[in-house]
Amino acid sequence: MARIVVLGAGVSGHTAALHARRKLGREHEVIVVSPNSQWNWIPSNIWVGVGKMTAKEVTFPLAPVYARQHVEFHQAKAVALYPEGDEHEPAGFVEIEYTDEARRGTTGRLTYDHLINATGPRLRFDLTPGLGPEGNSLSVCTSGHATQAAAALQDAIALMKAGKRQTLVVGMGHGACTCEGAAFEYVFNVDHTLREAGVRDLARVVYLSNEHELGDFGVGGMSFHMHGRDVTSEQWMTNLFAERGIEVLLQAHVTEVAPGVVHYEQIDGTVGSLVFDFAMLLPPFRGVGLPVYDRVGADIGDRLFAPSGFMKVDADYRVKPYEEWSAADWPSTYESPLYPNVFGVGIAFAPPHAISKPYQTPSGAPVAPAPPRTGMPSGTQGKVVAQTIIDRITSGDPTTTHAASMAKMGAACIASIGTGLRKGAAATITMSPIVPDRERFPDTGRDPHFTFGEIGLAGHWLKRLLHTLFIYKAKARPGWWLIPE
Amino acid sequence: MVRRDPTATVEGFEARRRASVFHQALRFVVLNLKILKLTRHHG
Ligand SMILES: Cc1cc2nc3c(=O)[nH]c(=O)nc-3n(C[C@H](O)[C@H](O)[C@H](O)COP(=O)(O)OP(=O)(O)OC[C@H]3O[C@@H](n4cnc5c(N)ncnc54)[C@H](O)[C@@H]3O)c2cc1C
Repeated sequence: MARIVVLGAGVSGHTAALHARRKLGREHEVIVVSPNSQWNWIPSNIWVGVGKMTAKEVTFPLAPVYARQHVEFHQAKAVALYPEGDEHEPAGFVEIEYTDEARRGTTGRLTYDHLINATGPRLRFDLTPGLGPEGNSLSVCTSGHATQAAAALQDAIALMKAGKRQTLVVGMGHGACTCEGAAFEYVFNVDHTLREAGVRDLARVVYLSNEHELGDFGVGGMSFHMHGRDVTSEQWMTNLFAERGIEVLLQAHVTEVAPGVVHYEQIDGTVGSLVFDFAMLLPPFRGVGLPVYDRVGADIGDRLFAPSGFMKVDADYRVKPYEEWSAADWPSTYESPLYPNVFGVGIAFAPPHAISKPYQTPSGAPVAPAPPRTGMPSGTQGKVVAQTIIDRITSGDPTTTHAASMAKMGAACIASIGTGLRKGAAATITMSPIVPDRERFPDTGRDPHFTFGEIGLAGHWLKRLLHTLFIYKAKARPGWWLIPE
Repeated sequence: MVRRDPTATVEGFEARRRASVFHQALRFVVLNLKILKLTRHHG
């Protein structure tokens, strides 16, 4: 009998738990530990943030799904890791603290044979003074944040209907943020909502980002070959922003969000501020970074986790200049080099470096988009790690591994730019590989057959379909495993 | 405000956006197939 403990019930952890449960007999245990009682389809938070969906439509309770699937669920957060056990317990275990009403604050221990760390991002609003819903700006990272943002947007629209001009700022709240695609989607959905409300002429909409150029998206931009010519994502996005009249402020690190004013610094040394009525600025992501102890109780956290709190896996973490970054630096098995029965997947694993070229301001602040780990790679990583564990359990061979490097796999990003069955639109972007590989693809680093972009109503329909499909899959409805990650 | 970046070569994208609902339905099928193919392609 083997026991798999999965920390985190987001895209990667939930996928890993469901696949492991489906393939392993009941004599083996699959346990999920996650502090939230609800599952959240995060990509649709964008639509919650403009009032087109409710929080209820993008979430559902996890406990009934896990009960039906025979997965043991602990509504709790992991607080410490003992991969070697301790003097009383020979097996590795994780210390957890319950977050449900009945047991809030009580602690427990879960031993494991295999551990998957899928704890996702820690939203570090605190790295920029005044950033976030507890400060002076809004967020769409959780369905609760998005609900708040939608209410603030409605307030701004009401003021515009009364004839008052408003400035709306959307973007990245720190120079080292990731997830530019989400901010891009949100700014276009805000624009779309303002047009629908008939108040667009009274709004100044500004996109503020750490990207070096539009269309970078933290992956160094893309190049598409279409109709006999090359088009870059920068050209495409520049056109789109100009057409919608959205102002653009790039290469920026936000230094502070004061009430109604965002202060920033750019890589050319410009120091500026922007007065706003509404600001949705994403926070930088860091890892959850648990304390880790060896058998005798010595703190070995820095051996398992990077200083960012992300977990070190089978990547090449040697510090190198941008020019020497290589596709081979990226991990493929997500196994901890220290403990082969411990894995880090999704946003929780430490990337070896960024994908986009990093810059900094003259005062030394980073203006360096962190590499995105979107839904498709996060789900795929969860699945391959589950497959590795399943094979190790069923074959008894501890060396078996399945692999999925971001320098080999592709990703699709369907970025909504407005909703509506007839009036909606989305930019569908695919790339392969996610991390450019200039040895295999010397021109652009990516396979031109799998790297394309197009915009239109069809993309919106696809985005809407994915919302339904992924919630269906996450609810583990019949045939869920046939839906790809 | 410049309405369009004159250096952008995006006629293909523009045409698709403005296409008829029938054309969009076809694109929907093509996009689904392309993404499905991508999910099966790991380099
Ligand atoms: C606004 C927004 C829009 C996005 N849109 C898209 C999109 O359109 N397409 C796309 O592909 N991707 C999108 N993404 C990215 C996508 O959401 C992530 O790729 C994905 O959620 C990452 O999965 P994960 O499992 O690593 O982390 P998460 O899904 O965040 O899951 C982490 C889990 O760990 C749990 N956890 C946290 N701390 C602990 C702890 N101490 N112990 C145990 N559990 C813990 C959390 O509660 C959560 O359940 C978007 C992200 C944002 C923020």
